[in-house]
Amino acid sequence: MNSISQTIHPDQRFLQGLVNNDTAVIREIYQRFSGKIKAYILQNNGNEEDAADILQETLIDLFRQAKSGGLLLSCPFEAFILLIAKRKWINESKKRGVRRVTNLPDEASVIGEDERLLAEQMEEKERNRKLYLSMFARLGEKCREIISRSLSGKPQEEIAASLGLSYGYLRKKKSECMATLIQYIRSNQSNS
Amino acid sequence: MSAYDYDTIGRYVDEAMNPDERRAFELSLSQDEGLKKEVEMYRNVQDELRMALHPDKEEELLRQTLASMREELLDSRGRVVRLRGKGWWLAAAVAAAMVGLFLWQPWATDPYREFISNKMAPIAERGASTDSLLQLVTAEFNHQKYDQSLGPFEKLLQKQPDNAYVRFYYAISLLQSGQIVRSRSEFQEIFQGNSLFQFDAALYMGIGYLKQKDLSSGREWLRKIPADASSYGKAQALLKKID
Repeated sequence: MNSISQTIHPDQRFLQGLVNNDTAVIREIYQRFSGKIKAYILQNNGNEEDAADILQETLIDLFRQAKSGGLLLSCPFEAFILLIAKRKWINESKKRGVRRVTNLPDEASVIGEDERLLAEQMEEKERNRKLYLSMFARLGEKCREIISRSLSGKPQEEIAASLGLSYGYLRKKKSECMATLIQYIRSNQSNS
Repeated sequence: MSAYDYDTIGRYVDEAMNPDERRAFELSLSQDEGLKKEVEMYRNVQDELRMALHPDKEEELLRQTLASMREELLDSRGRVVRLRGKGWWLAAAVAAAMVGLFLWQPWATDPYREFISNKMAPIAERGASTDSLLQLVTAEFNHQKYDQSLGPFEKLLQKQPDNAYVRFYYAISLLQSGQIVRSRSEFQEIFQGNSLFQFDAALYMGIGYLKQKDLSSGREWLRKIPADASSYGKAQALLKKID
């Protein structure tokens, strides 16, 4: 996806618009692409709120991917956003126990293997994010506080002082809490 | 895996090692797949938690923008489902129309207009700041400046959260400015209370659904209104209109 040889599609501007929180571009995204997503979800046992949720989550995922993952688009934005939104809705439908979700004609002609792979990676990332958060919620209050404060971006010495701990002890506790968290995550992954 | 513990891995990921220690660790990392996987896991978990627990300002701002545009998507009168495409999208839209979904019809006037109250009772000015706000929202509502009335309504509700009268007209303003989903949560709250507006709220819940062409939910709400409620007549007329 990020190879230098790849041709960046002019629709990359939509991703840039998301990263820049450019309301004109975001409005254009809603006006041009939300109709198809909405129609698809409404036809597949969803309602308007589901459509709005899925579109919103899709756009946030794309923002994160573009911002931190350097997402470069080599296919039309419409095909890519539809692919991500459809996959999200199919997963959501499975969770709700809906068996049949229409498979609309695929955009195989415009979606490349790179985009398909990226869509899978984004989906896996989302699954992991949810798992990490649910396992984080299982930690004791002290551990949650230590991890949360340690990730706040403030200097660690300052965080240690605010918790009444030495810097060394904060690090030690944080690593113990992270070890427990990773253990929870692994045991959940091996059970599923 | 080499004999590294999570404290060491954490200090590496957090860039808290001195240069010598870092070099030694990176050497081990280059030779040890197990250690590499541990570092990757630690980093992934930490990055995802950081994003979830402390979303950056840019993401927050984007969420705000999306939330404001979300209403447009939810509003069936909005510009989101248009019959102008080709190919599968057109087929999808036509199929949607066949199962009774709402398609944008800019030429259509609001068929429920006559059922929606557009007058709040005028009040005499008494000087208190909430009264001034009430005057303001009354004037804006009565001039059908629904969008403009929302801010003052919200201020007023902050001061008087239990005022069902204000909440009721606020919810109508939301409905009339196209924010049907938000209006619904307000009407629902009023319906669950015991105010005089309880069954009026049910009427507007019904209207909200009818505006979205959800006839079944609309009917369900209209049928909740008992015969002795003041909104019963309107509810029956609406039921007749849609059947």
